[in-house]
Amino acid sequence: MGEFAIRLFVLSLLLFVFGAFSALCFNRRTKWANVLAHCSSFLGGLFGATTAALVLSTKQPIIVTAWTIVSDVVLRLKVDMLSAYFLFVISFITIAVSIYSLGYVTEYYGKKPIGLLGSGLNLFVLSMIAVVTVDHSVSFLIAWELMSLLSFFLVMVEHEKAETRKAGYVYVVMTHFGTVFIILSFLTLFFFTKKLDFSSFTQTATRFPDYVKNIIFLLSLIGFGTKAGMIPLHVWLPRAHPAAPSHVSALMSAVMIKTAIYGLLRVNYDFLKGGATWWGAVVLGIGVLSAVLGILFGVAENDIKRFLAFSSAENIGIIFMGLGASLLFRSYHEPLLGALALTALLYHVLNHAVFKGLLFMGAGSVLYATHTKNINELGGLIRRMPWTAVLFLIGGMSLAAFPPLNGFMSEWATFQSLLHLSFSLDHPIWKTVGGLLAAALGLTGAFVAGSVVKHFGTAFLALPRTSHAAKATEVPLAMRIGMVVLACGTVVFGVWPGLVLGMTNQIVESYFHQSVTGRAMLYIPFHRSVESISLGWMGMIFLALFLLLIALLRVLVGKSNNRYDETWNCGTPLVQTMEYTGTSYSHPVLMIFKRLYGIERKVEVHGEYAYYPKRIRHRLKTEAIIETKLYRPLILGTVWLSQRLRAIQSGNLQSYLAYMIITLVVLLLWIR
Amino acid sequence: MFLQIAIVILLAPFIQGVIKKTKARMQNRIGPSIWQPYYDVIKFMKKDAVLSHHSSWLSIVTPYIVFVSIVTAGLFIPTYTVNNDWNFIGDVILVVYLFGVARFFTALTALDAGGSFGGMGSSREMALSAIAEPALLLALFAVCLSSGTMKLSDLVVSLLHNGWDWFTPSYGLAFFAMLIVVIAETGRIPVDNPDTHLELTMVHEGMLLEYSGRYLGLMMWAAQIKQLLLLSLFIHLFFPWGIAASGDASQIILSFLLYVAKLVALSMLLAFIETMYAKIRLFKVPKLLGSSMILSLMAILLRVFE
Repeated sequence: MGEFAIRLFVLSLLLFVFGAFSALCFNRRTKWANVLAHCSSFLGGLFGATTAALVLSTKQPIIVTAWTIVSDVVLRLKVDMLSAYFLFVISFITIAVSIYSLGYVTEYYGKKPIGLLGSGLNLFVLSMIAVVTVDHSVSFLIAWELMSLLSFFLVMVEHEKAETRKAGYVYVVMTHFGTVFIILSFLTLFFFTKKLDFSSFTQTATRFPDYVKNIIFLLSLIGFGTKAGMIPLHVWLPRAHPAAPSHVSALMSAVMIKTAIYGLLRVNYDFLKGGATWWGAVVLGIGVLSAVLGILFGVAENDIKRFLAFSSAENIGIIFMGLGASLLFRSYHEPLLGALALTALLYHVLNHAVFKGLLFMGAGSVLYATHTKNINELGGLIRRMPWTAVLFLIGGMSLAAFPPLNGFMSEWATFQSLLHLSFSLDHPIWKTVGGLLAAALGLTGAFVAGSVVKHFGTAFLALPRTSHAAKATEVPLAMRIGMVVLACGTVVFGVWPGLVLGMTNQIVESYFHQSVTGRAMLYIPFHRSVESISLGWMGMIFLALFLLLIALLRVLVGKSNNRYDETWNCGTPLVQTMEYTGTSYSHPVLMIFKRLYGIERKVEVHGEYAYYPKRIRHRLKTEAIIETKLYRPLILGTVWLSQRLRAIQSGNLQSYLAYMIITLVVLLLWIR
Repeated sequence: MFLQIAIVILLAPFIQGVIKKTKARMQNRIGPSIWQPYYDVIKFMKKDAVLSHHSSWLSIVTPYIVFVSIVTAGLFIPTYTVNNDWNFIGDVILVVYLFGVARFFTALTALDAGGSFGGMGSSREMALSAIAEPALLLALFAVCLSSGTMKLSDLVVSLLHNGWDWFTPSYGLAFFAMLIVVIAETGRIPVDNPDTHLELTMVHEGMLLEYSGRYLGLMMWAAQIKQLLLLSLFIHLFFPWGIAASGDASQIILSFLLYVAKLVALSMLLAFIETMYAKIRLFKVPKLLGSSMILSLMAILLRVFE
């Protein structure tokens, strides 16, 4: 079995490599490049997902030695349980995205080199797989850097737009800011183990003194947190994701930010095996901040993709809440609860990947059909793009965690972990905080629902607001199939949690020696009570009642006689400009949380009498408060410091030579 | 299961009738008959419907989805018995999210016809519900904290067993916190006015503006059922005494009568509050819900440090 899994895994990797090179070779022949690149990434994803499933079901890690450079430096890929789970997530999303891309890149025919784009996509997926499977810190950092750079190139595909260039710049700066901290955390590990490979970290890191563990935890949290997009290090997310082509943003948002979660789990669970109580508290705090602020910023957005990017920050917040709770329970020696929280976070990693991938593809479809992402220019797409509308609605419902879709399951598990902070821990602080955190999660959920209504309602319902929207047509079949795959995922992972729990349980068991399993039901036997949830059952009851209601009404009263007429509009004919826009939809929220948005509102009334204005101009300016209050001072400070440092750059060759000599002398004295 | 569903569905218009009648009497009116909501529902089911040209299939499906999600949520709330047959499926979080589904589709379809009133109602509803949801969860949590479960039937059993002490301060605080939330969630004064048809003040009714015939009937009925369920939740969290925990027939009948009596009393209280107060401004509502959250928080703190 192991042999077979290894072969499958190698085949999957080779397929990505093949896809990358063949697409490059056929760069001139766009259609060939498209088909070759995306078919091989599809197959690669398929084999990758199978490998992961095999590894997780047989519980036997596989090791592939790819390249022995010298006897000591070996590029080795090791798929253990944690890697296999993330490999599954990456591969599953890649399958759907590859099908979708077959249709989506036709948009770029004649405008962009398709071969390069396809090759970049394959290499990007390959680098992500490398990130989650290598077992050596140097190769990890190389893979990490490759992943960052490749995604940067993919973000820059539409580089002729100034906005995209700026987004790419912010992304590349932020991602390297994060990488610095990751390097530092690995260096700290190296400093104390004198080894660079993960297995020696795993063996020795538990024996580190506490302060070292704390340092490693903080460094990894900042480093990986930047990539994950936790607030306040999220600034690149809402820029880079909208700028990238939609199939790339689907991959970036659904999968790439999850590699950071992998890194955090690897460092904090695998190497350090958990730590002090305050770790959990810090992660929980960041989680709550990211979740609430992420969605509050998201509500105000009128650009679908920007909203989805903010919602990614929010979902990372939910994942962090699970992680924080899990670390906390671990430090309090509550293995069952820790296992539940870890399950919740792993489950949410997959779920978020599935529905966020679906939603980004849906947004991409809207963009493909109408060439705009601004919902205020859309409307009425449900008639012209029925498939996209239904699929986007499913994704949106899953995002808002509505039963019976998958988003609900992991959110429920997170709720339970947070509530049991207070039900099971005896510390008065946790007793209070648990409920507050659960309420914050509820607040987040309600805001997500509101913003999904806003985006779906404005873009897909009622009358088209511009001619782009009026002329839209349904997207090609390949794009629809890609979305259908993930839409099925949202339903299946919701009503049959056993599929996911079977996978997560291997990881959870290895850290907590407790299992959280279930088939059609997520079931947790607590000390005092038994908590369980079954969306399959709920769905069946729902369906039965639904059919019963329709049948009863039909039998008892007969068919409803429907007549069609104008919308009620106080007796005047309805025109598009009277519809509620996205801006007006989120206005109440903006007014309630005025301080957070730094709103500047201007109403200009033109005309002789104020009561009979000829024209009213209403302007609402919101301010990205984190950027102005936190980043601007930092940037200004950095610029100021750099300008001071320029004093030593006189441009004089002699003085540069003098610097070198001084450095050399100092070094010699120091090393002596 | 069927009895529970049937009772929830059939009792809901009665409670609405009681509230309306009480309100009318307090305002020195005779008011419509207590059975009027039943006549309304039957009438709406029979009537033809007028739909907008601009609306899509969502407008037709939504009333069914809303009705069924609320009825499904009713399975997990204790009514005349402790009712733990469906316990394994879900808990109060599922109930909150099923109400969420109903609200989501209502708000979504309000935008379907393209009129501004629907949009306005929808946007206000989603903004207010975002504040109401954490308030509801906190108030629930304040009660759940001592029993350590979110399953309502287990919770009621443990409340029955331990018994809340009427004179515990945390009990009183949680009571008022929950009362505010129940008023907000049922869309009653001072948060929303269920009787208004003045366009600028509507929230929930604004979203139903484009419905007619059977669809309107289902939406209104669903709203009544949701109201009944929230009242039942409130009753069982704070006055669970007398609820039948076993399957003895005479006990169940007694428990049912007691349940109806409690419902009637609570709905009269709601009608009383509604007569005493005026609707508050929209942007004051978050403050009201905020005060509910503060009350819950105080209740929790008192519980924790007792």
